[in-house]
Amino acid sequence: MTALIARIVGLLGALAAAVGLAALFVAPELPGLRTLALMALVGLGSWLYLDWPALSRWAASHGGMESARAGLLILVGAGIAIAAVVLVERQPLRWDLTPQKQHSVQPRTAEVLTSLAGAPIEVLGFFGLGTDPIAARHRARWQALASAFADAGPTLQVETFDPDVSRRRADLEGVTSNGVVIVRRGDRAERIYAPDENSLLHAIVRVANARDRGVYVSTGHGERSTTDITSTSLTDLQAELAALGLAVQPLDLTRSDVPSDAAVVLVVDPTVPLAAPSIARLDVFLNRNGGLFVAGEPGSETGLDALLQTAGLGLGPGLVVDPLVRSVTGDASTPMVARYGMHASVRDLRAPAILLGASPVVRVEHDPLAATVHTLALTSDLAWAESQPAAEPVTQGDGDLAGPLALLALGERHPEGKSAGTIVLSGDADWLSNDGLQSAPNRDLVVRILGTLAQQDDLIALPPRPPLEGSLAMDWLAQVIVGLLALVVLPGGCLAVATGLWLRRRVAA
Amino acid sequence: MIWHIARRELLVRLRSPFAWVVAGTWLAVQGLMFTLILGLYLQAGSGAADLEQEGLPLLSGLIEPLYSAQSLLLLLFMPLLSMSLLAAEQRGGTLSLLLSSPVSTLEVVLGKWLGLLGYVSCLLFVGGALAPITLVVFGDPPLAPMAGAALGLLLLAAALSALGLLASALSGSQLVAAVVTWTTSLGLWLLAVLEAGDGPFAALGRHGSLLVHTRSFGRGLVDGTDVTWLIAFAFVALLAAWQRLESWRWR
Amino acid sequence: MIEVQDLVRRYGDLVAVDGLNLSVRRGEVMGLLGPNGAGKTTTLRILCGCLGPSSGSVQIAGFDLATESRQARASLGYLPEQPPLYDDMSVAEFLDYAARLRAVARAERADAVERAMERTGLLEVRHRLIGQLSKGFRQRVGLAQALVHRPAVLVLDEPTSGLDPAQMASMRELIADLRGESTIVLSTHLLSEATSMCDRVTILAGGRRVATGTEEELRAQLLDGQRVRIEITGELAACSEALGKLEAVRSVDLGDRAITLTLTQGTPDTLAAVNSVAAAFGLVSSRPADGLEELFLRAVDPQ
Repeated sequence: MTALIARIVGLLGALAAAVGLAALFVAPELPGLRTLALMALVGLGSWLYLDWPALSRWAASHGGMESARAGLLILVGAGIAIAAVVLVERQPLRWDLTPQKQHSVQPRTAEVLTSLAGAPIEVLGFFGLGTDPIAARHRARWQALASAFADAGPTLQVETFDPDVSRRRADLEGVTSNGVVIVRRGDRAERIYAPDENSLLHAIVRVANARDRGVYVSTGHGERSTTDITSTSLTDLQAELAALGLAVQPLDLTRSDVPSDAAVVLVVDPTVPLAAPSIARLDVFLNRNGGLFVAGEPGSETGLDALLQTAGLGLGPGLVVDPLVRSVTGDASTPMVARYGMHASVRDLRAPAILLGASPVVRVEHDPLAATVHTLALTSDLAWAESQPAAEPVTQGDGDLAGPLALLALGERHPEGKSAGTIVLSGDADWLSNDGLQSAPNRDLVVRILGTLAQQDDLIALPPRPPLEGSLAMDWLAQVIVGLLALVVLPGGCLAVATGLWLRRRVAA
Repeated sequence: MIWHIARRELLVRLRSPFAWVVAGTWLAVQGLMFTLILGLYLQAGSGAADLEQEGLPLLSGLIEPLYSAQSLLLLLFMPLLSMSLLAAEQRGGTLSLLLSSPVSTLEVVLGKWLGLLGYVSCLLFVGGALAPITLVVFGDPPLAPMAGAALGLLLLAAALSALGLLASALSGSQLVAAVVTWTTSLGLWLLAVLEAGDGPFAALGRHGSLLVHTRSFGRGLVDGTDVTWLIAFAFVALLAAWQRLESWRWR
Repeated sequence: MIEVQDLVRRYGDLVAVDGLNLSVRRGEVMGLLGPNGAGKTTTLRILCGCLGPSSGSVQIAGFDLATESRQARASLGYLPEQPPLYDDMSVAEFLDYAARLRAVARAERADAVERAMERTGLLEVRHRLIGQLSKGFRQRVGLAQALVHRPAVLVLDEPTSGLDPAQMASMRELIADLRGESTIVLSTHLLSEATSMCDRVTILAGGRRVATGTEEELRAQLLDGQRVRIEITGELAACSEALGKLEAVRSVDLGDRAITLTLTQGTPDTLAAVNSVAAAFGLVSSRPADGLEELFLRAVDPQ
């Protein structure tokens, strides 16, 4: 009877110990851990004390000794196995068997990564599995990239999170969507979207070099304010960028050059056209591979047409009208983004941003070798650019540009094959204002675009990878033969042998 | 001695109609998966040709799915193949023949394990030879990743058969042994879902999951950690099976 | 050939073998006799290495089973109560496997298998699957696997149980045939079988040894506290009086025609003393009042 009670008490003690140990790992902040530990101690102790005769008899018996020895041996074996795995995990022991070495970083990347010194750099990827096969593919691609980087860079701490599962972590880092990578050392952080080897390496290098790069908002031409808090000012945008570690400062282009730490310059809705000296200063900045964001308003003159043209961009005539949007916003002249482009800055964006009265962005005549244009956001096919917005009812006229129209486009300047800055052009400035940024898709869009612009860097240029090897060509006859072999001949052969053996046994019996 | 015990395992499986029925079912499922994956790949390839795009790479489009299918097949069939290893000896009283022979229990365990591994390797590499042969005859696949995938399958088979052997040693009933192998291996496989989160559970998923430690073989990447993990897994399972067998002397 | 010293085997709190000492000489056939639960099977399983002893030591052919386990096991063949057979192997295959397990050299393996089949009369069924054989043949295959490597020691656990009388007789013949070639230890719960097949018999009860020896020696050992019936031609009363004076005699029971004595100890000396006293009264016969069977039953079950 005593032994029975002792064993029950001991079992409860062991249970308390197990729960306590599990809690210690999962949630060490939980209260009551001490109580659990005390319960475990008392339970196990009283079991040992009360059940001692049976225990000592068991321990003294040959079988008891053998069981204890076997248990110990298995524990030691498991310990050795775990130690071996941990030891190997710390060594960069990997064999990339693909002919293109697609699981390894390129030699140049490896060189840069191994030369990184100092404190470890955190690389946090937010990639959910979701239910979407595309999301899963992006996650797999990221994981391959992450493990290749982790393998090549001893100072990198690479982790992957599913933002849907690790909500707390995602909130903490301010991550709202899939496909975000945060690279951070200390209080310096960079965000990249749709990462590849190039962009990830650049982000790491920028974080490691600890060079402060800022965003400058041009002033002096009647642009939107960054200080007054009104519905049309840019104070919310400033706050959003500050949250990403990008300091926003005003810059009077009429008086001073663009500072050397500038990564992006914003020109938002100048009511006075920019003068030649200001434009020259912007050109110098762009030639340093800077990023320029220009947001105009329908009908207003920015004076930047010539500069924009060097990137193949321009603002078209008229006001974008999209009848499809009327059903959503009630106003056809607040175009909604119907489709995002394939550029890294907008890839994976889904929710439509809403503009508030926009000019269409157009591709202008340019030297294809000197600039490349990427459309970032498009209207629906039904939209057009209305040249007479005052007329009622609004209908598409003959001279009006037909949809789909570009709402946002990005132009890369590369005269003579050398990178010379990137310009993003929008035909609307209101979507960046405090009013416009109340919409979450607008916030995501501007943050992504400015984040990408801030990362243009020509530190390292990685050569493109060789194309993947291997091909397979089968005509229908070959397919049928292989299918027959796989589905009929091989399994059937096995079943025939089975039947033969069975029959032989029957005959023998 | 190890060889004699392994040889008997192989011999009996070659002579048993049941084992051939299992092999036939294995080949049928394998063939179905192969033709489906091949069909999908070729269809995607012809679609890409219409759009004048680059076709799907052979590695991620065909070799990796085939590897995944084979490892899934192993996971599903291994309990059926391993359940009888020691459970039947226990039930049938033939264990006393092994225990009274000048054979150590370690040799018995290793012999049984190698015997099963040999049989499973036959299923994998002889029964499954159609896929690589098709690839080589009708295309020019990268050979090194295929060898890596084969290594991954062999290691997975080694780990799973050690687990099956342990389950078979723990239980006198073949059914219980099969169910235990199934649930344990599937559980370890599915631990991978924890990997997406964070904290200790994600660590458990990352370090404990069978899937996490086998998937990169199919992508042409052999990671020393994975190899060690699988070998360590087999080692611990074999050690436990050995001690379990030894403990029968002391019951 | 077999030396067992102070062998103890416990299953939890149950003591199955309790301080057993046993010595079997080379070439001898030793029978372990006792009712079910006497510890026969446990003892035999320990002898052949299938079971570890709780304490005590076992030597087989000069090798200690604990420290030189492999050599010890190499020199014995074991037929458990349920023959260890793989139903999905043919007889010849199975015996070949058994020979391999017993480390029979490759060159001699085929001969050893052939010889084992010949001795046990299995040649006609050599290609049959074991699962399809009758009980008698299965028992023979079991015996064949035990002797395929010509072991110095054969351990047979109830070799005749579950067989019909004809099969039982042929199995006994097979074992008799092996006498002299191997040292044999077999267990049985039949006294007649033990005395007919074995040179010496050890009687076990409750895990302890009750008696060891040839039939006569057993009788003498078991006689302790047992009764002797004496018939004489002379006067019964006088004789009983004379016998009653003997130290070895506990009580005398005077019958119509015979005297029944209860002895304190059953050694041959006591019997001789009794006989010499009775001879003076014209001894006709002096024999135990009970048969060996009854002695055996009384020995293994004191109630």
